[in-house]
Amino acid sequence: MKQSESENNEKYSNPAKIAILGLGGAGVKICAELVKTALKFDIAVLDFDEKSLMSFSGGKIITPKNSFHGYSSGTGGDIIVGERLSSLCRQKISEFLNGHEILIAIAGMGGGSGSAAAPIVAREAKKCGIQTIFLVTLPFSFEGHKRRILAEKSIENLIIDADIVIPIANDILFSSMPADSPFAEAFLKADIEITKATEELSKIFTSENYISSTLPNLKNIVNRKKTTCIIGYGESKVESSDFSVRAVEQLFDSPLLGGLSEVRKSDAALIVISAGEKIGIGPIKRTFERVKIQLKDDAEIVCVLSKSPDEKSFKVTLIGIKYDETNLFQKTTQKKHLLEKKKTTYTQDELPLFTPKKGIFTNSSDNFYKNQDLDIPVFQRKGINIDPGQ
Amino acid sequence: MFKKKEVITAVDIGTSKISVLIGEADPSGNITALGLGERETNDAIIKGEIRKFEDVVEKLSAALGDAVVNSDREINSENIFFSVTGKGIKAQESMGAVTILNEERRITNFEINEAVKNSKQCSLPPNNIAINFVLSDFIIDGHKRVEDPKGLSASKLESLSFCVYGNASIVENYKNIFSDVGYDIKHKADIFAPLASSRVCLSEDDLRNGVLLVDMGAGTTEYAIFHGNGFFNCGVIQVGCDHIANDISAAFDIHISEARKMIVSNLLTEDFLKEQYVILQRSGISRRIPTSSLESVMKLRINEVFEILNDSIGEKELKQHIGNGVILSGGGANIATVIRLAEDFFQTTVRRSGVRSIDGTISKLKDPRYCCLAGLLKYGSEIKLSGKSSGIIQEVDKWLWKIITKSWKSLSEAVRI
Repeated sequence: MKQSESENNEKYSNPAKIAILGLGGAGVKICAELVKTALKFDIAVLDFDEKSLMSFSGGKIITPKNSFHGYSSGTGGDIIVGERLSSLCRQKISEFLNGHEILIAIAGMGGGSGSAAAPIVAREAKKCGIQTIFLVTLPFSFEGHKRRILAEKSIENLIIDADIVIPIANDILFSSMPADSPFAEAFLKADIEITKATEELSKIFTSENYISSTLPNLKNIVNRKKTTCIIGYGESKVESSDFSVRAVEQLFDSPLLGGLSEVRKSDAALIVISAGEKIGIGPIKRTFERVKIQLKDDAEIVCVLSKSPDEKSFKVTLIGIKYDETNLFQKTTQKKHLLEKKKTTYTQDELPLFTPKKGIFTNSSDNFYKNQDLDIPVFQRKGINIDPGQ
Repeated sequence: MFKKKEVITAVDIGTSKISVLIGEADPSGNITALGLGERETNDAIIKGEIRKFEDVVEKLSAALGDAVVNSDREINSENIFFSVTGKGIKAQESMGAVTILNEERRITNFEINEAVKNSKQCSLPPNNIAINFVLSDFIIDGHKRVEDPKGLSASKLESLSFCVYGNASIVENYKNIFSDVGYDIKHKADIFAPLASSRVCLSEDDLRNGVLLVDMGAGTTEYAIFHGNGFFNCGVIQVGCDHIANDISAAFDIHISEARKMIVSNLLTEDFLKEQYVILQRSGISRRIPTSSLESVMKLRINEVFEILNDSIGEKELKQHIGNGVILSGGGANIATVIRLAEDFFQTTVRRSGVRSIDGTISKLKDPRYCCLAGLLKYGSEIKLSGKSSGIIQEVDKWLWKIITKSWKSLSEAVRI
C-alpha cells in the first residue's frame, strides 16, 4: 500500500542516515571505488597500512593516534597486532558512527586488519544503537587453511554484535570469469561487484517505498535468529521490451548470489524492485513472480517496491536469508568464552563455485518444472562439483 | 483399393534437422522408402519451437528438393504427412455414447461411427485443438468392454478414445510452413510424433502387454504409453539431447558444437567410457576430460528426464502398463549409457527402436533418429489405404484399420480358393 503523503515528505526530509566504513586493505579498495559513485553517504576507512590508505581520497580516514604506533606498513597478517591497533581507534569509530542509523561495513577476512577491526566496529556500533550490515569477503581457497580458519573465527566474533553478516567467498566471484581473464581485470571486477552490492544495499534503504518499507522488514526477518545472507541484483534498461526478464536473469547470474541452489536454501527473502514511477504494474508483478518462483515454497518473502529517480533503469535486488537452525549465533549478550565453552565452530555452507548459465538456451522461452529451470545444467542446479579435467 | 502405387511424403521437422522421406505404397500395403532429403536447422528451431520461420521454410524447401531428386518422384500435396510436437501437448480420455435404436438392437457400422463421432466431441482447454484421436475400446451397456462390437446386441454403445491435444498455433505454424513452401495442406496430415514412431517400432506383442515409447530428440522428449487397444498416456518434456550437450559444454568449458559431436558421434561408446579419460583435440592442444565426470553430467540430465516422465505419468500407473518395457527412439537412443540408465531407473527391459515394415535401400532408416520419419511414411500409407477403401474416417483410427485389413485378408483368401 502506498504510504501516506505526510510520511513520504518526512522520508524525503529525513532520509536514513547511512555510514559506510571500509576495514583493512580490502575495505579501503572498495571504499575507493564507492567514493567515485554518486552516493552521498558518509564514507570512512580504517586501516593500518599507509600505502593502502594512499589510494583512498574523498572520505574520512581512521587510524590510531601517534602515527600507527610504529605499524605504518600494516599488521603483517597478525590479528593480535590488528586488535591492539583497532582498540586504539574505538573513540574515532564512535565519533564517526554517531548520528547515523545504519552502518554498512566492508572487510576482507583472513588478514590482520579487517578480521580484527570488524568485531570491534560491530561492538562500537551496537553501543551507539546503530544497525549494522557487514559485507565480508572470505579468503581464496588457495590461500590456505590457516587463513580460512582465521576468517571463520573472526566471523564468529563479529556475528555476536553485528545485525547482518553477508559472507562472500572470493572463490565465487572469480568462478564466473573465464580462466584466461587478465588477473588485474579479475581483481577489479571483484572490487566492482562488492561495490555495487554495497551501493544497492544503501540505495534500497533510502528510496521512497510503495508496497512495504525496506529497513523495518529486513530488521524483522533478520533479527529473529542469526542468519547468513546472500545478495544479488540485476539491472536492465527499460527501452528493451523484455526488461523485467533481463533484470531477473542478471539477478540470478549475480556472482554474490552463489547460484540458484543457494537461493532455494533461503528461509526468508527480501525482494526489492527499484524502478521509475512510469513503469507499468504488469512488469513489476511479473518480476516479483519470477523471483518468487525460485524460492522455497514456505520461504517468508517481503516484497518492496521503491521509486528510483533514474527513469531509464529497472533494478531487482534479492537478499536471501538463511536462518541458522542450531541457533548457534543467536542474538544474545553471551560472552565469547561461553560460546567457546560449548566447543562450537562456525562453518560456512559450501557455496557452488560456478554461476548457473543457460548456455544455448539463454534467449529461449521459459522451461520450468517444479520451480526448476530445466535449461540450467542439472549439476549446477544441484550444486554438484564436476571435475573438468585438464 | 489402390489402383496404382501411391507416392507418400513424410516430413519430420525436428530441432536438429528437417528430414523428408518419399516412399511408395502398393495396394497390398507394402511400403518402399525411395529418397531421403535432410537439412540441419542450425538453431532455427529450439526446444521444438520455431524461432526463425523463414529459415525453416528455406530448409524444408531444400530438403523436399533433395528428396525429390533422390527418389525420382513428384510430391503430391495431398500425400504429405508431418509429425507434430511442442510444449503442452497432452492426452485426455474421451467417451462418446449412442443408443441402439434399430429393431434388432444389434450394433452396426452406423452406431459404431456415431459413437466414435461423439467421442470426438471432447471439451479441451481454451486455444487448444485436437491433434489426433486414438480409438481404444467400446463399452456395451455401460459395463462390458469389447474390441469389436459389430453384430453384438446391446441397448447402449460407448466409444472410448484418447484425444491428443495441443495449442492451436502449433499445428497452424506447421501448416504455414508448408503453405510458404508451396504446398497447401487441406487434409488431415499431422500426427503426434510418438504415435508416428509407434507405427514402425512396436510389435503386436508390445501393444498387447504395454510399452513405453520414449522419443528423445534434440530439443524435446516425447513419450507415449501404448497398452492394449489404443494408448494410455503421452506428453512432451522440453528437454532433449541439446540439454545434455549444453550441460557438457558448461561443465567442461567446451564449445557446444564439440559437445554435440560427442553425443551424436560414436565417440562415447560403452567401451570408450571404460577408459579413464576422454581426449579432445582443440586448436592443437589435447584436453583430458575424466570419463567419470562426463558420465555424471550425462547421467544427471538423463535421469532428470526420466524422473519428470515418471512424475507426469505416475509411478504406479507406469509400472502397470509397461509389461514389455521401454523402447527408446530418437537421437537420444544412440547415447551409449542411455539404455543402462533407463534399465536402472525403470527396472524393466529397455531396447532401442528398430524400424519394421519399410523396404528400401536407405540404410539410415535403421537409425532410431529416423524412427518417426519412417513411422510417418507408414501412417501416410495407412491413411491413403483406409481412405480409398472405406472413405468413412480419414484420421488415425486403429480399430477401423484393423477391420479393413481383416476384410482385405479374407477377400484375398476367398479369391485364392
